[in-house]
Amino acid sequence: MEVTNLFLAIIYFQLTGILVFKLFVPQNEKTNVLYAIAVSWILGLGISTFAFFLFSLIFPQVTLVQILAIPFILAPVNYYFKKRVKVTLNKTDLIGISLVTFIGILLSMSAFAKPIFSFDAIAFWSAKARAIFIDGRVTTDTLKLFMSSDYPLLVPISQAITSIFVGSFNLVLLKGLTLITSLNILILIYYSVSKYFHFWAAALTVIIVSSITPFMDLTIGEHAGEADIVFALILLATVLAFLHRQFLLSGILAACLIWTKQEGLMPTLILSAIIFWKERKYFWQFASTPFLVSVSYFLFLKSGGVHGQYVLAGNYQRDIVKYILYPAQAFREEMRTLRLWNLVWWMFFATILINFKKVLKYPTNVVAIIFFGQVTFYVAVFAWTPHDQATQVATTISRLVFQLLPLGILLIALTLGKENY
Amino acid sequence: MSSLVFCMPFCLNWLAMLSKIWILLGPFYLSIIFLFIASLHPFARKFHLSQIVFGTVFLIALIMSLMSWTTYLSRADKFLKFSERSYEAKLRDEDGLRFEFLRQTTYTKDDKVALIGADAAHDLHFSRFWIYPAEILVGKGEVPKSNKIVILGGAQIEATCGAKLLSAGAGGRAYEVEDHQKIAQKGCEF
Repeated sequence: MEVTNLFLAIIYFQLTGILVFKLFVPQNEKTNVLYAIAVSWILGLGISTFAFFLFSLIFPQVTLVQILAIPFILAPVNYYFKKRVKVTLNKTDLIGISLVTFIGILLSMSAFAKPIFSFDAIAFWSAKARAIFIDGRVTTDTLKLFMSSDYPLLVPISQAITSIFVGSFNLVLLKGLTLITSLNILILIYYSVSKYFHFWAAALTVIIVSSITPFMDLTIGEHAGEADIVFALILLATVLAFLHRQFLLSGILAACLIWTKQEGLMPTLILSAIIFWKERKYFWQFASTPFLVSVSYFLFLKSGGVHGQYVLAGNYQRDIVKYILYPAQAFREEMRTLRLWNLVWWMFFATILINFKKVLKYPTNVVAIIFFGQVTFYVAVFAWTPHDQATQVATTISRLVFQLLPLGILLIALTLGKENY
Repeated sequence: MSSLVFCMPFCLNWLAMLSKIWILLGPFYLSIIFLFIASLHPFARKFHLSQIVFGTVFLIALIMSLMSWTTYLSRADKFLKFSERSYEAKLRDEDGLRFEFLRQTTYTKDDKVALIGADAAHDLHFSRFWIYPAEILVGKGEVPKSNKIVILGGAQIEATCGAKLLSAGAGGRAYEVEDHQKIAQKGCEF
């Protein structure tokens, strides 16, 4: 029964996402089915978790009735606007879906053999989720009890909603959410590469990415249940929506990015600046949603006296050059390790070096700026961290590099390939 | 010729894996690169050098990926056997889940739980995961007044000291307090 309810929760997120996707994708524009599936999944997670957060400000307890109300509200809104979305499905897309499904079956063999158990998950991501599930709402008093109390809530609330569907807080079944998110990353990578290359190149890229150690670790292993895999998916989707000139949708996805992890602010600010500079009339279409989401969550935290650990407790008295060089070198060491990343980062940097002029052209340079902007942001956070720098770098760097992996592959595809459709 | 070259790395890779002589892979990869470029020679003019190099590197990456998948699948039967065992057994297997014994007791909002032996910040966070929504009182010196006691580590309360054992595991024990004064008296230290 619990497994059936897990499937119902997954269908709920996907269905909610499809209803939102239909509302915000431009009318009569051809949309690829792979892109629609992955983006709908993100929107489903983002909208239902943020609605849960808003409901918990109004209701003493958010129940399944309020949760199910979200698609029931969205369905008539969709009907009212009567928007037509042309979703395209061709043979190569079917190959991609079949391949990812096959990989999903292989991964599920071990995904459900162990519960979520990494420190970050038990100390705060899933701990907050369990507290929200027990309380039926989000309160600052509860958040303050846990480590990293100011972190955004997409992952904890999505786990809490799933647990409400399941009826209990099951650390094994919750890995189903991570698995679906990981498969959506593969779907979006297949889409991104097949857009610029022959489909077999896309299929082989998916096989390579699916065998990378951090991908396995985040999907089925110790770190499943944390936010990095969700972040990686949303970052790629945000940039793809920007490249498709779907600025409103890109803005909503950027809001989901901030709602997943605070480092989502960096790509959002970079994209906002680029849109302000190059496509000024679309600026508010893009920037309004992330602005509203971040301000409302910031005010909620401030009203309850929840403070950020990095802003207040940052260590600003250090030999800063030394503390910048160490994480920069750590990124180099991480990326060059074949055991972890296969040859992906070697190919990435070789592509940039060989085709440097092409990387500088708009809009490829946007992807490069976001990529290197994000790396710079991580290095800065490591430089001023209130924690022991070496320990923090060692325990987080693989997950941070993974956040950038799908974006890196998109940059390779954009630089080397020609657009097919 | 080109199909032979395309198949060769896979065959060599599988040979190396079967013989478990991993050092053979190095020269194999080098020979693959040269063979691949050589095989392209008659129509090499069609391609940019970067495309040839990229294609070769991509092929090697794919071989490495297939090796990872082979390792994963060779271990998958162990995972399947693992999943047949009970959920509790799985939890006990992991050091990070040694606090799982706390799951066997239900803690409510009205409970006050004295947490003894939480030496590291990790201990407090791992315990809170299971103890929430009860209030945690961290003991320093003497046992705080509470209706439940959680002791992390090997220490235990004697049966005659006014505490009923609720659950026990690799990480510690949980008790229900029946008589707080008895626990505090001499001879019942833990």
